[in-house]
Amino acid sequence: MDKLGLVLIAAFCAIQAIQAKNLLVSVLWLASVSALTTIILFTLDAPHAAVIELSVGAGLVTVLLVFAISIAGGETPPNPESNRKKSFRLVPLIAVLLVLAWIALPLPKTIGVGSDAKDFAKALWHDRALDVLLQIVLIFSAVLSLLGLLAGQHLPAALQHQAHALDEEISHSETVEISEDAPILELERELV
Amino acid sequence: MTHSEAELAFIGVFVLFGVGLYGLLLTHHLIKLVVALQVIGKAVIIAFAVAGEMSQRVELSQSLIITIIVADTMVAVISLALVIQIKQRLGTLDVAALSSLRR
Repeated sequence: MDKLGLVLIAAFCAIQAIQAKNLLVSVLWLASVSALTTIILFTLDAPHAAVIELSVGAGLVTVLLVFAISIAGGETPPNPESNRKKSFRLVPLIAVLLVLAWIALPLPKTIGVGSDAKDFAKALWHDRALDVLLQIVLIFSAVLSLLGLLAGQHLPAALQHQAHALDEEISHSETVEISEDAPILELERELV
Repeated sequence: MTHSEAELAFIGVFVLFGVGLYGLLLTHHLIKLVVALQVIGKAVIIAFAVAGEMSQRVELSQSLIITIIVADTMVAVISLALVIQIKQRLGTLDVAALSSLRR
């Protein structure tokens, strides 16, 4: 019963994270979801995974989100409809998922116990060596694409010239009477 | 019909997944979308731990959970970099405003 209670508390924190107006508050609720996930993993006999979840999920992802909010700005766009009206849609969604859980529920026990390694290190480094290799490739490709994305301001001169020419062409084709210097975004806002 | 502890946690996993799906479908802010993806990832992690507990293969489920955590974090990193680029180039983070921009 206590595991179900912990997961439900985590779900409550997730609702708070999604409905919070302030983005920083939302990130803090997400960190608490991560901490509760760590406790649940401990109670489910997965301590190694719990430690990594705590350090990566509650630590690294929170820092990354705060960093991104500090760069991109934390303003929340006004919602067209009221929050209360929107949150009623959560009820049928969760009802459908609970029906799915009820269908799946007598979970099959002990599927193919046997040649599995009983040591975590052996399971990770021997049986799942391909996964470790894939993780390393994933981290490297993520770092490379991150560098490529965040260095996007320093385009080569030829590309920049091309992009500028394209922008001018679009602004010419869309607007005749408005001055050419206005950026396209502002034109869009005026049109809307 | 009595359920074990792990099966009860499995019911809660569906609730957590539903909350994440709700956030993914109905929020209009790009950073909130990343938060909702993280919530869904945590629900999947708990589901894997329950599966490992039920089938007595906790070591296998732990190594799979670590793979999921790494992949989820990398998805968050790249999507946050995309969010920063979108903010700097287009000036908005609202999904509705972005989809109405026809550049």
